[in-house]
Amino acid sequence: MDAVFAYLDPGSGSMILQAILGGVAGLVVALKMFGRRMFSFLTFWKRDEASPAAVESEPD
Amino acid sequence: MAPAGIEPGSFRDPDSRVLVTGDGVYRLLSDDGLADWRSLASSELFERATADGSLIGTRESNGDGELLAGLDGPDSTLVKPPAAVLRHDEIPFVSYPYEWSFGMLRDAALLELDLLLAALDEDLILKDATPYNVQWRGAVPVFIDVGSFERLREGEPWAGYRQFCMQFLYPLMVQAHRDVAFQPLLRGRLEGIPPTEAARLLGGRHRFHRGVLSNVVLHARLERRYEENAGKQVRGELKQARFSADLIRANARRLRKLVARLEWKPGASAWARYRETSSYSDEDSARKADFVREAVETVRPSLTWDLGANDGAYSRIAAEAGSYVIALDSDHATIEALYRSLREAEDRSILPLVADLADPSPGLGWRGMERRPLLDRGAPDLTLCLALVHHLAITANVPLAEVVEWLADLGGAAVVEFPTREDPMVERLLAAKRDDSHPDYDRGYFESRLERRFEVERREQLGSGTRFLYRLSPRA
Repeated sequence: MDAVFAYLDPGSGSMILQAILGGVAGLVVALKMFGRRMFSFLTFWKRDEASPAAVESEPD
Repeated sequence: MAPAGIEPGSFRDPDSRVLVTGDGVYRLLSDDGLADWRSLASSELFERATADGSLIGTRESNGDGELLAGLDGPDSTLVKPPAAVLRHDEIPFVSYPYEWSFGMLRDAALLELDLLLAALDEDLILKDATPYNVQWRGAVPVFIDVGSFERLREGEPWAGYRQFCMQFLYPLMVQAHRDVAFQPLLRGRLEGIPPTEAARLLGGRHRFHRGVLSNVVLHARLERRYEENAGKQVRGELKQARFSADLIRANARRLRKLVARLEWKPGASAWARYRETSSYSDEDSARKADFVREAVETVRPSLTWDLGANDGAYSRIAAEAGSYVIALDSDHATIEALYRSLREAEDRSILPLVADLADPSPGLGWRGMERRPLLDRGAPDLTLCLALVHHLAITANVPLAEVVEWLADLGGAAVVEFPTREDPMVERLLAAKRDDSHPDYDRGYFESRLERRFEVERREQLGSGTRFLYRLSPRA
């Protein structure tokens, strides 16, 4: 069977979140996954703040 | 019952289409869909869940050649050729999440997660997570989409998580944490509330409620951050990093705990409608109950609509006589209270729904046909319209004659209550209007309109003198 989802777009961000939220085991998956792009992961928060939509939802 | 043909609300999944004919509800499966079905049908989960009623009764349909023959021709719009046909048990009345109360949406979410967890134990998974896959037998939820079960693909995350958030979790959180009604949000957008909007609705101090930072705020950030990333690539990377079904299980358990703890406390003002009930004298209430009982025993309805059901007292009378009852009320808190008491009793004959009869659910979705209008989903044999006419005529400004036309067009028999202008409740409603407003609100005029469309079988004046009851049968 092809590794293709039936019909629903699971969302890239939503898939990654499932690894991040999966406790210790999930963290291992997330770290492995980001191994190659560790740099971009670490700069993730900073980058996000640059977009106006994200600034709006920043904590006071 | 839906009109015969391919159910217009089932097009999203090409492996599994619903077909409604004069004699039942069927599901057409593609080759892939058939393989998934066989895996489900041989599981313990299937046996257990269909036995306890949480999964719709389903069997492979024999003699389906005729059904299939008509569907494979040049007129067919099916994406994949049908390979097999299943037949489902039927649900007495179809309802949608934007008509449910908070507790109903929450219990549907818990059912979804319980089935997901049970599926994972047998190397199956749910391919989506939408409340439209849940229907009701009274106050008991039943999962209707056996086509949602598929064989687990090792290394892939749950495709339904985002949809679960948008259609279950966020609406529940918005209601629980902000006391913002979720029904208009779901009715306004069938896909549900997207993570970015949920993050705005649950911003500020609300983000510190359990589960909001992770499932809402972080979700929205990741969605923006990875907007451009192809799903295929992310899926591949997760697989390489050994994403496993254990992670799906852990997340589903966490979600279950989160959802089970969500609570909505309706504001005090929302219970105002109960006051009207309590303004009746005990004698009036008893006579009203007797009147309804006699009507139910005469008409012997199989489907009753109780309009403005309030605490469901008259719904229960109809249900006791063997009718399936749709208990409609526009007040969310009232329906929530009714649902909780019915759920407690595991009632299977009264379906409580939040519905404003002056603004009932329209047809929605693709071609306006994916979700059907409330009034098209099954004609009542008997309509109970008690303590409602004055609200429609005065509060909602519907001309009295149109109220009668509407009742008659519903098609069945009816029990209607008319409070005169001297009734304290009517006086209160009229006090908000100009002196000369609603000149048509008059008992004589009302009766003349009734007689045009109905036979008045019985009329009774309640002891208080300001309320009249009518039992009506439709004119042939």
